[in-house]
Amino acid sequence: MSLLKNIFHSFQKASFLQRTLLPPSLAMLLAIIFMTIIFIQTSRVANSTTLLQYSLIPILEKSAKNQALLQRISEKFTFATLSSEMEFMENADEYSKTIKDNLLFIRNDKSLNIQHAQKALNEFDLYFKQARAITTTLMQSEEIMALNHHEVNKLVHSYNQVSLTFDSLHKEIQSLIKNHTDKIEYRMNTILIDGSIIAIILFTFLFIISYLIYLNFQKRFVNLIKDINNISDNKNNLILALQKFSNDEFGILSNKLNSIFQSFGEHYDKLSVEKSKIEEMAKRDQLTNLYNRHHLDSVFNDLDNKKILYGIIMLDIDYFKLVNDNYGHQVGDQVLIKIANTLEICTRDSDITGRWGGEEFLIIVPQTTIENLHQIAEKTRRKIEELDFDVAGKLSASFGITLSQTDVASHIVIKQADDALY
Amino acid sequence: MKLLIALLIITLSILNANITMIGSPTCKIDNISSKEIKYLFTLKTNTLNTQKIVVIDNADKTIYKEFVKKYIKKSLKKMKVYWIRMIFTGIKQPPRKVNFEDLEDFNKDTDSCYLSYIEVGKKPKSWKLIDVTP
Repeated sequence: MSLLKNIFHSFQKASFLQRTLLPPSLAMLLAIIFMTIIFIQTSRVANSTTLLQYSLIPILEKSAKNQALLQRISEKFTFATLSSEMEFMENADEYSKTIKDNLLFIRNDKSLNIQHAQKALNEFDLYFKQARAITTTLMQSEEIMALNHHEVNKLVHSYNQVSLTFDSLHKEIQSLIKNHTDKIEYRMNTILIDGSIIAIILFTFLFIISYLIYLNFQKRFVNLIKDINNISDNKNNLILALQKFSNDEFGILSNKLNSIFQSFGEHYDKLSVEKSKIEEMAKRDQLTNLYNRHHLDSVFNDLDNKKILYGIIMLDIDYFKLVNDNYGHQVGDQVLIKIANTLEICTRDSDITGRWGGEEFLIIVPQTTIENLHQIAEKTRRKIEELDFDVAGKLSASFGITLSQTDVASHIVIKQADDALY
Repeated sequence: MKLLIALLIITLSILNANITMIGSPTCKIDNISSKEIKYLFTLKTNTLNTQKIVVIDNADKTIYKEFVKKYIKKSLKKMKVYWIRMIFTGIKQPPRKVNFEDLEDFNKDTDSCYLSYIEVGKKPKSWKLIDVTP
């Protein structure tokens, strides 16, 4: 179990590239083992085949030749006996020499250790001497009666013994050949079966490893893509980090992407703040910091579109032109700022206060009544009258109040407020 | 002239010795055919009426010649060839050759039936005559 744990930990620690190379590496390793086993088995087959071809088959041929020569020797002795010709005896001697040479050849093959070889040699030697002696006797006498029954008995026994031993020798060699051919067949079958088993194990093992690696990669890719999709879907929050699954290339990639996303996120936030500021600046009047006409127009559009009823208080500073003419624009600007501040104070947060243009201001009061508008306007008017504008002294303002109506465009409502200025 | 003819007949009868078949006391056979004699004495068979038969040749060369001529119906030379081939090929060996006086030595073996031939009138006491049927 600890070994398996170690292997699992090693696998977890391995890099993406190392894991990718794992199946082919294992395939190569197993292929080497496979080839080694096949090579060993094939070498054994080759050795058995060599032994069979260069040792056993020649020996078998010599053994078969001996069996044939033994019969020919008996024939030659028969001919010699009948014809009293020494030539047949010489032929028998030649055959005898060949048989002995063959038997010596078989006996001297130490690698095979054929047990019947020496026995066959001894028995043949005895038989040949006996047969030769009897042949000589018979060559000198025409009568079969001349033979000693005991010697003839020994000769017949010797011949049968030699013949049996030659047969046994032949069978022993045949048995050796059969053993070797069986071994070759067995080894060939082993090669086939072992090869098939190893191949099946190899492919199964590699398939499992490859599949596990595939699952591992798939999980990582899926998680990575999921994280990237999350980040992509949450564009406002680029700081969402990719999960780090490992210390391999995936981990490094996640880290790098996290750094990039973090950097993007920080830049995005800064840009968002800047954008908000710019957007706010675009809505505001630069001098008074109230909403400008452009923003007020968009507010009116929204109210028209949403069919929300509202009230308008339009304010115009009386004799403001004289202030500018008599005290200069800087004093005029100070007057406008003070008026704007007063409007901010006198209105609620839900009201929208803006500079309509020059010395005209506009207050949009959503969901209101004419009485409420009057209250706001009156309150504002009194506050302005209480103000001290330093060099310019005291100033007053005119107010126009109107309520919007359903299906009446905002520009008409504004005109009504403008007309209502007093 | 008569004397001359008688002498000639006596001489021929001596030259062509008259032989008869005999069996050891354990033999269960009383008669045998010429064909069976030939088969037994050339060792082509060794049983007769389910009894194991061991044949013995007569050591007397004249009797042997007469026997071969009469029952085997071969020349001595052909018999020699036959037995030489049998001997050198280890198939079988010729029957033992025994003088008729020694035949009684085989009586000790009570398991086998010994079969031989002798000159008429020289039968061992314990052995029995066996009729030869054509």
